[in-house]
Amino acid sequence: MKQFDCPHIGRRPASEFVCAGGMIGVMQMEDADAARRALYFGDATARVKREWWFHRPSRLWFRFERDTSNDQVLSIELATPDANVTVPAGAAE
Amino acid sequence: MAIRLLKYALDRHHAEPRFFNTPQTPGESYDVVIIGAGGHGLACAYYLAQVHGIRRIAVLEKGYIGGGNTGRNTTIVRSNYLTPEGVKFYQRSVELFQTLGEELDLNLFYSTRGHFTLAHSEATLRTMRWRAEVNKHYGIDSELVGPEEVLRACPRIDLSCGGNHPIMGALFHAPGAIVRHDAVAWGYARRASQMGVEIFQQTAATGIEVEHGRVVAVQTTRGRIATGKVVSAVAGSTPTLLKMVGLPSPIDIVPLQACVSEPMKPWLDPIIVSGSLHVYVSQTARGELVMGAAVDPAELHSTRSSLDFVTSLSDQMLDLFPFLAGVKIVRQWAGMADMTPDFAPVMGKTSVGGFYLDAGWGTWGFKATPVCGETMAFTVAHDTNHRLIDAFGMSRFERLQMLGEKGAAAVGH
Repeated sequence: MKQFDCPHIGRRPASEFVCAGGMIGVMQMEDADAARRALYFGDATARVKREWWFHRPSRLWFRFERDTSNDQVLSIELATPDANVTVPAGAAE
Repeated sequence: MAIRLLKYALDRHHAEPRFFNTPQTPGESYDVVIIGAGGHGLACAYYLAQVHGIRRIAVLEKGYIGGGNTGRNTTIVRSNYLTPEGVKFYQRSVELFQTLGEELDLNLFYSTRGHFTLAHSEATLRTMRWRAEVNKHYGIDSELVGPEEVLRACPRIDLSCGGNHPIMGALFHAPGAIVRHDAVAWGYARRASQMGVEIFQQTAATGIEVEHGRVVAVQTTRGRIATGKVVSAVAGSTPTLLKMVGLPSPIDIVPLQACVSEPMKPWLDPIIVSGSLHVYVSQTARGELVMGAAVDPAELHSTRSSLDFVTSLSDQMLDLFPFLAGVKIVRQWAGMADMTPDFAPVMGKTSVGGFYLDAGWGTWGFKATPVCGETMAFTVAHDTNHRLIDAFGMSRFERLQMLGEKGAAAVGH
């Protein structure tokens, strides 16, 4: 069973987390083309990637740095605990 | 037959030719270079040679023939999709599959079983009614049935699913079939090879040379090959190939896992799929259950298997078939799936001249093998997208003209 070593909530099963995708930065509303490109296109080769992960039991958001060639998590950072962000679809299962 | 077999056994010089040629060194140039010797790439080579008379073709494969997702899927063939573009495309594939064994002169063990997609909620039933109507409109045998019909076709199923999520109905697709996936790749490879196509195994593409917006050559681990036309027919490495020609990728790589049980006496005739339970299962001719589930939770460029996958899959399987509790899983594996934002493929010409894409085949690519070969061969030969793949171009993401096929995916990925 895969587990994540989280510096904030300890060693937890990966199944408690939901990956909400890579970080694409804050989009500028006035540049719709750039926003669209950022949404649908990017570098998808194996690389170190920054992602949003949601921990279901604690309802906390984390920023992960993960190597997509071997699934090694390089760093876990707590996102603002009271961030006003929506719970990802599927997280309520 | 028996005498032929006996003669063959006693003969020291086996007269049977090899299935396909195994040249070691590529020539200096080819009319077309196809990257990826899976079902898709080999089918494209076959139709290019057979239908369009283009035979100076090199197929490059970094592993072995059919060793990628062609040999890693759960072998299901069906056409009950959701969008008109998807339905017409997959329907052509089913038609080609039905006569493919004869065409390739190889027993592909094509077995029409009937395909049930179970509904455990009103919402799923609604999508299924929609799918059934779209399907019928295009002449595809697809209908909504009640739980009794599911039970009649599959008496061992627990309709209540352990009381947790009772089966309320199903989308039934009579032409749903399974077929031996390796044989599909081998059959295409043999026929293409007989017509002069050269297949280079253990040969990886390391770079693609583009001059003035057109492809001019492919760099490989066995030297440079000059060519004006390159077909990318890989899975898992599509973003890497796109990067070689300077294109961004609308595709993310996510592993998809599957497994088989030990062999049992035949008890499961139809193919059973449950989107809500994230399982699909069929029983092969040799009695093994072939089972698959949803894709892994995050992007990963690796074919590693995980314990999480088998435990969660077994859990869901037991809701459907409690009597399997003592049955063992004997093998599991993973493939790297090209996931697209709308669950439809990315095919056809690109903004780089002579670079053609047969990609974005996520978890739905094996069933499309013959039609991909046919339409890509047309596209390459005429440098014009075949009408069946026109809607699948990469520019749809620019125009926001998505082809939402998520509702027709086997399970809610």
